[in-house]
Amino acid sequence: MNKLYQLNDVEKSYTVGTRPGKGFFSGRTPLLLKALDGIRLDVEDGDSLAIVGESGSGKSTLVRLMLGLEAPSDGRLFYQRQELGSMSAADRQLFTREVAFIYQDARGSMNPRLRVRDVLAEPMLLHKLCSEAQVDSKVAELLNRVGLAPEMADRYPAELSGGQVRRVAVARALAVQPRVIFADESVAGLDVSVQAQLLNLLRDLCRDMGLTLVFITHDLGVASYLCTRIAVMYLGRVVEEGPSAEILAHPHHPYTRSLLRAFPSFDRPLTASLSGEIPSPINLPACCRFASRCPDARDACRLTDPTLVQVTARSSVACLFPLNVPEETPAAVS
Amino acid sequence: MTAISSTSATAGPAQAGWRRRYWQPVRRQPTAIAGLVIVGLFAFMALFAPWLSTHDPVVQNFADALQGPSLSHFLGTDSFGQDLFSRVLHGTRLALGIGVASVALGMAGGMLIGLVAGLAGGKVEWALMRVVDALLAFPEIILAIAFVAVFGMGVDKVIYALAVSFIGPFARIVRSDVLQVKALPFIEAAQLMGVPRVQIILRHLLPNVAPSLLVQAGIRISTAILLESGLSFFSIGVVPPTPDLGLMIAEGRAFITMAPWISGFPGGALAILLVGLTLLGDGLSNAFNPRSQGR
Amino acid sequence: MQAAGRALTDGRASAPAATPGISPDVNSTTPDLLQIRDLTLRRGRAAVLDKVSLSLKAGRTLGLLGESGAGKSTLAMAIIGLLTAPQVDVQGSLKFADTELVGLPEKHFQKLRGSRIGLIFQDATASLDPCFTIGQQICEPLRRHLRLSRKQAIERAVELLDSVGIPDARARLAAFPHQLSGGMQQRVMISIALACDPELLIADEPTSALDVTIQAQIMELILRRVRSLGSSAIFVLHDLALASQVCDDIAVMYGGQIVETGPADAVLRRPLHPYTVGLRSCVVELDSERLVPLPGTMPGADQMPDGCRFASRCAWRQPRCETARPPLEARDGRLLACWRIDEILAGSAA
Repeated sequence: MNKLYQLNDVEKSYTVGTRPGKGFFSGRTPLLLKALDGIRLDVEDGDSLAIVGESGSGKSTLVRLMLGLEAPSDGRLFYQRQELGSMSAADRQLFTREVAFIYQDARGSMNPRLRVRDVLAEPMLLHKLCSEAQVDSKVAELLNRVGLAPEMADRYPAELSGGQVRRVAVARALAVQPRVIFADESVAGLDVSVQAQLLNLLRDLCRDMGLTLVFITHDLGVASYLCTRIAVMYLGRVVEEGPSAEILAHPHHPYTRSLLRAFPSFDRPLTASLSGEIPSPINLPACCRFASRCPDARDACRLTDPTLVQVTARSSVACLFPLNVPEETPAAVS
Repeated sequence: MTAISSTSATAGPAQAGWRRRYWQPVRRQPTAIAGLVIVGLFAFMALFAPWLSTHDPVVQNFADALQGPSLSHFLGTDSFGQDLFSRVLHGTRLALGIGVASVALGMAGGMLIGLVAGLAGGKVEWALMRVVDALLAFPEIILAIAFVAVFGMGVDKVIYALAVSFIGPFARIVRSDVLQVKALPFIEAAQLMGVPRVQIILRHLLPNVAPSLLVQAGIRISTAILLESGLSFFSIGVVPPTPDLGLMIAEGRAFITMAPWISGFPGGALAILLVGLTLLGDGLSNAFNPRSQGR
Repeated sequence: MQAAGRALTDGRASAPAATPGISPDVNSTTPDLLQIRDLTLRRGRAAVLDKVSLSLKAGRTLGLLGESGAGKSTLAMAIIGLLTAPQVDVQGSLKFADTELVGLPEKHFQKLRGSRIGLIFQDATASLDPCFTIGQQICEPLRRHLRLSRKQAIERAVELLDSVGIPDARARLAAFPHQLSGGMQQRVMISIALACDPELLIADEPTSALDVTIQAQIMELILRRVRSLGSSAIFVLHDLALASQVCDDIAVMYGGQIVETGPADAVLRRPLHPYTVGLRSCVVELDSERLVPLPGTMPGADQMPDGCRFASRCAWRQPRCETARPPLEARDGRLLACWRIDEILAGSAA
């Protein structure tokens, strides 16, 4: 399988102000916000991956790095075996065509002075995917594909409803015939019915067109509905990664388990299984970052910072004492 | 997050959209309508001044001097026997001409500086803004007087003088608008799509900076006209016998008790024009202010 | 600090077998805390609330569900008197413990708000005044309604902050809202709302802006405090699954009208009204196979059709549905507004 993305120990830090150093003459030491720490992730062609996390998890930062908007502070990020920072101009232009992004603020991501037709035509004309004369028919085709009436082409983004404007954002992403679509919380804040329509649309499109989808969300239900793989993030680290079905049925990391328990369900009582606030990502301790809230934390957890290791055939977890891991059977010779 | 409601889609072809976006907000503001009527009237007079005038505005006829309003001279004559009606018409023409030209020129200069400053950032922005600060430190009229003192009088010099004093405010407005728009998501989205920088500036940045700029420009035209009339009143603006409202008011000063119409009519015309422009400017800025637009 | 995974249903008021809080059962002896009859609220020509009737008994929690534009928040605002003439025209009856709220002068409302009726809004950041400390904001209702002295108010404020799980409560009194996280701010809102032991708590999407693990904590906190005070609560929610775990009774709203009410278990596990059925099948659960969205969208308040407002999107619609509005009728322990409800019941029983 073709690896589209390969992230090797990617890190991203920001300096957010200073604080007084120890001792009178030390001056001020910078406060470091480590938004991403030791990320190891692969995205293969045709995958659908959901990046799940709450605030401070670093999921949005991770996507910004994968889109090339910012460079990693450490580690290496490859797209099709090339590092984003050292691509030639031509390769970079190709990259912008192959990778599309649907913003969380769909309406804000469109120039309010352009009509929908122009919004959709811009990327197509830019990458020379059609001629001026073909624009109208292509736009109609795109609108049809996302379930919008062709008259929408004459509207301005401000005149569309929340659900409609997100569909236009999906249409714009599709306009360049990309290989990978990134979407940031594209269904948050919508009515359930509109959300359901949009989710079905995304799922069907990715299946029909064989697109690779990377979807950021805080909602495990949406993640499992749309994607076959889930990566759970907590405070800048991928704490668990594997097939959706496996993660939902047998989570390996205590944080994933808490997320599942906190997810409202009709059959199961809501459990407030996690106490305390999400800690600040500034100056994290040098041990497991979840130890302060983990119900199963042990002494070892407060000393060592676990890295992501493979625990079953298809999933990895960053925990010293992972859950639901089958006993290692001695290699039995059949 | 609040769930976003699905508003009922308003059907309508492109033309209806244009009307809805531009005409209706204006229609709802009574000040804008009043201003539009007044300015429209004056613009009409200014445009057709050569055809509407009954006499040549600069021809002197001492036999007819200092006459009150009559059928042959609608607004009377001044001390040189020049027909006031024709002079007021041409004066309006000149006033609007100078006002629009100086604002346009100032806007162009200010836009260039503001754009470069807002986009470049860093030291370039700092340096440019200090130049702008220097310009803004002078009251507009002082700057204009200084310019005229150096370069001389006349219609064209007045236009340049006023333009220089407008560069400062426009540069500042454009720079802050550029900074604001630059941070909006759709600019980054365009970058992500691979749109070249120049196209981002022309297609995405400028059209979103322009509207507030145009409204500001409209407001400044009245300032320009007032400044220009002021300069001419103090005899450091246009050169007589150019029909200019400020100049006419000055010329009538000596005859205020005997023939008040010599200052009165130009003064009144100027006042009404300025009020009309102010109303229009206020009304337009209210109409297109996103906060006051009841969605 | 290890939190036991305590289920929120512990301590839920055990529903008397055949008398759910919103049943038309006239034999129930507990008086209604809140009784709404034919409440109609007009903004201009549009009827944003159209003949809404509900009742709520003491000690029970009610969930108002529906899509945006349905009128849930409007109803909540109307109950606490934040929507009055001249912006809107209110008709009908809204009784809170025998006090008629429609037409009540603002002065009297101010005595009710904060003392007998508590409010929690969605956006705690916007609801807390950034210029005053937490302590000042909690003490305000205490001193105003309970007439406590400054010292007494401070002690009570510390108690309240403790009870909502804010660590270092005394020190926090001097903090400003922006110094707290979102979850903490919401806890402060809860403590302000419950400061005077209100009989009724109204919470409009109290956890929508919070992370999901914090949401569970906050919801659990609200329920615990409400149950311990014996108060009633009205939750405006858009999350059906959350509502099923948190509310005793549910009222589903559409287009400014109530279309179905009943016990939460019944309404959400076995929805009867076509709209509720449609909503239920759109909800994303952990094991959803295929979501079935409702066709179309809710019309705006000024474009409501005659007859049943849901007819345009309903698979069961008939000509009758488009001309006459169905009344709320009691069926199977609930109230439903649908002309074809008997056929639907027969069909589901089959």
